[in-house]
Amino acid sequence: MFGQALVPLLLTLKVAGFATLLALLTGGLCAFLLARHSFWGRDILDAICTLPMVMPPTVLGYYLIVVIGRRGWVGSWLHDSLGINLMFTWQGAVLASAVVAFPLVFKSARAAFEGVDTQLENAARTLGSSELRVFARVTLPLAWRGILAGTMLAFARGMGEFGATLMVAGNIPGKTQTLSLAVYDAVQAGQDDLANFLVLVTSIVCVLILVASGKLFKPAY
Amino acid sequence: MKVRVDIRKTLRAHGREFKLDASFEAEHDSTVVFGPSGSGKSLTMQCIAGLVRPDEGRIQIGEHILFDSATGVDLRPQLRNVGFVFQDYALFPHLTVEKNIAFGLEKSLTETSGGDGAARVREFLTLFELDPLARSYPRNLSGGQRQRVAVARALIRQPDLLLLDEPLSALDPVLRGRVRRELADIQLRFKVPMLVITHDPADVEAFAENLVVFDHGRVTRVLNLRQGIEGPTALTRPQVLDQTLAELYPAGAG
Repeated sequence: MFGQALVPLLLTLKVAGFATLLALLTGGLCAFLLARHSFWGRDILDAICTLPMVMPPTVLGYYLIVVIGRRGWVGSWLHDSLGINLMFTWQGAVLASAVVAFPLVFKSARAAFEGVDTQLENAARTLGSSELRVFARVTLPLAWRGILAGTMLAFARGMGEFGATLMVAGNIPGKTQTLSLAVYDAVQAGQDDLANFLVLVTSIVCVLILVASGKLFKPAY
Repeated sequence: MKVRVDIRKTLRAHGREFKLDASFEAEHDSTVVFGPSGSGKSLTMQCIAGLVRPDEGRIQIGEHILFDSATGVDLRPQLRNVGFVFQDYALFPHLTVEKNIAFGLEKSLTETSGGDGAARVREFLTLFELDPLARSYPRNLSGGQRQRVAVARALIRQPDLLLLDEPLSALDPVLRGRVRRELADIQLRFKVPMLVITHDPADVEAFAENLVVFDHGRVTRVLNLRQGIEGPTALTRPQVLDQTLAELYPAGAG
């Protein structure tokens, strides 16, 4: 039973890890742009960035198929020119989890960036700091706790991802079958012991993450 | 060093409009910018520091042109060499007193220590009586201590001009007198031209060699108090001040 749980657990950690990294980079960048720059269509962009949080994961999965599927806009190009296929691969699962986890990083990071007093950034500028240094020495050190807390939520969300992953990557044991998919299979097959064990592992990991991120959301200064 | 400011800026927010039309020259090292709240003093300071871009005009310190809309000059705040002490001091909450003061000496993206900078920081810590607090964080300092850190942090870069936005307003009245004397001492010691925003007449008494009076976004008076005192028939400082106050706040209006 332990071995049966280990394979999907490791795959889940791998998929959630890469998905979180992807969500952190893109979500952090979008959050910074929207928090510090005012431009036409900012509210619409904010709504689009938040959309994956409220839409059914299956709908997101369908959108992804339209984009990266073999006949999709990006997918056909990837397949024809680079020979890359994302459908039914763990990399596809990473993309699906990243899209679902993105708003969690984005929302927390935007709030964290907006919580940094612009007067402090101005003070750094009058002290001769380049824009890059202002970001590295003032903005990021004051915002990182909020960003990290959001990143941990994204990881927890990525671990539990089911719908979008199933649409894009399928449910192939040992290849794309993550914990939540394995739980579904175990229940369907009547393997209650395995299901109990998988559920317990998932729950413990998620509780630990939530406790840690809860601590980080509290301001330090 | 002579500071010349001649700028215009229109701000619009929530359907209201504020027009700044500030023009003055400060000849002496100690200039007090005086006027009621919302008269455009802070906005003018931010324009001088390069944090707000005027719509048009010209800002000059000595021969150094910081902004000139006619020739398209608009130096970034990083290149203006103007020190700014913010009203709430804007100390970096995540850095110790020592690192706050060292901030303007360093260029690197990561924290560094040692070198010539470290000796200078120690010198400033001593000068501003902050030695025992070097490793404290701003949240653990009193108002007066915070103010000294903010001034030290700005002065360590040897700015051409030091802007102080209501430097005493965050302090309790007892402390205010002491800090006011400290600022006057700093002025003498560093010989850095200062532009001090205030709406407290006592600050005018303590610092002003030049007095620039703001009202409703315009400079209504520029007084050379040093001349006034030296000249045989001129008014004394308190007399000039009384007169200015009477004009700003006519009897019965306030």
